[in-house]
Amino acid sequence: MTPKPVEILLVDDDPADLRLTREMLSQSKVRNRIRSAADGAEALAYLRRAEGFEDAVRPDVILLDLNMPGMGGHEFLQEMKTDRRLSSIPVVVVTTSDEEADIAESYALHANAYVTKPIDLDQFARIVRAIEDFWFQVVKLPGDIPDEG
Amino acid sequence: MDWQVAHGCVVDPDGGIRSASLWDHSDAYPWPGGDLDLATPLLPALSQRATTTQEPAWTTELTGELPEGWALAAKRAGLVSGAAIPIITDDGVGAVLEFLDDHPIHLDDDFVSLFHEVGRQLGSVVERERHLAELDAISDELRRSNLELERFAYIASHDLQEPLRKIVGFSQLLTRRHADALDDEAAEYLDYVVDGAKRLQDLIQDLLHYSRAGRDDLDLEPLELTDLVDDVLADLSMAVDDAAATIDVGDLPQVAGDRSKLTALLNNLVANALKFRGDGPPHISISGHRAEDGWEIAVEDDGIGIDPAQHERVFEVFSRLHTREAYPGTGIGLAVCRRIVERHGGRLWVEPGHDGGSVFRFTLPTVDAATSAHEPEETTR
Repeated sequence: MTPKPVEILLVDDDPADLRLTREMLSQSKVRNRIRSAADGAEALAYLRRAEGFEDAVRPDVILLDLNMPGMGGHEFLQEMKTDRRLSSIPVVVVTTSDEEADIAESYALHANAYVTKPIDLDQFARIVRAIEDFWFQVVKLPGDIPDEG
Repeated sequence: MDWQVAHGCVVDPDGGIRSASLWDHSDAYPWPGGDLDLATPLLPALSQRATTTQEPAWTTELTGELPEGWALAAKRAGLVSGAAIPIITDDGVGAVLEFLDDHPIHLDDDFVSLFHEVGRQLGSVVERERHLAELDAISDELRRSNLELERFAYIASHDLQEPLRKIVGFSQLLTRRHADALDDEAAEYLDYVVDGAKRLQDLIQDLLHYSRAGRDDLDLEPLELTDLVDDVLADLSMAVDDAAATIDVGDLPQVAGDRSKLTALLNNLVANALKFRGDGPPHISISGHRAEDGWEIAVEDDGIGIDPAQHERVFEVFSRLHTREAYPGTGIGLAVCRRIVERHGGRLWVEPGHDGGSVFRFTLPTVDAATSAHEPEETTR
């Protein structure tokens, strides 16, 4: 039996960035399915299966950019981590910023990890691999726990 | 004596006197002053004299003193005398108060000296207010420029790097994924694109470090420099081994400083000593001694040395004395080092070393000096 693929939600407004991350994830040894949202508001609509997103699949992990027009990453965290139905989904902040204030703020808003995107593609590939290893293979995610109902 | 009308004027730095549109008059004397637009003094000649002599001036022949049109109003109101009292600040007369009265007045010596004194007192109040306003303006300006700096730092750390990542990422994707479609020349050009973009990113990162070295709050604590040097040498152990360097560490004092900043400072100086080494295995010594204004720490090497004519230039942002091929780097390290030392209240400079290399020296305040300067409340406990 093949395990079901890991569901990943990418939240990033930049198509080129999304593309690069998709490229890196496409080489993953773990089967995954990638969806994307262009900003915090769209991501929330997706997670809450709002109109237009009725078929949305609950992601196993969210990769979140911070700098987005409209609802940015911090506001998204604030909103999502205080929503009982969504707060258990792990969020890995993946951003260019290495400002201490951004890092501190992200963890204060209950981000599960903070990663600075390196400029070099090979280094970025290594980081995506590390994210996969840890979040897709090492840790147990809330969705893995069998329902006791 | 009670004045029926009072009018305040400001003396500009160029000596011109203008109305401050400050009026006061008793109810019994309806005076149109506040409603009329008067740009000049009410008593131009008297106010001019008071400004020049820095002494009160007065007259009992009011009619000739008032501007046209105002004389009639004064006559109707029965006003006959006028006086101009200078308000004296450190920069000379800063303001003049003008008074009109319905009795012929004569100011005797006591009265003149009383007014003179009142003018001085008022002047110092005006002075203080003016200085406070200037201080407020300066601190507003500082706050604004700090905010701009923070904004700049954020732009540098995120917005400027985002496009660079794209240039590098997609160029590298091209060379990795589409190598077949590229000839050698095309691949070489793409390498230059990646190299240039990475270099630009290094420059941005370093500018950011430089700006942070100047703006981050210092977290001062008593630090054993020996411990910091141990950490730095452990961190640089690969470079030390590669260079087969010998490093002597003398007695080092306890200083008051910010751990991460001083570690970065020492790391930079030792890494430079390793990087700019001569042909043989480098010999580096780190020592400290008590100086007049605190502790003086020296990091001495026997490397390639620095032309004394360049001794100041090496501390400038992005200043480099060698090609990137010979010695990689952006040339920001020593500029950051100097900022760190200066933030701690010390100095950093370079001198020729004994064996042809360089000695970088910096001063740091003693723990006592730093404690009394930064935590005055400690002494009251």
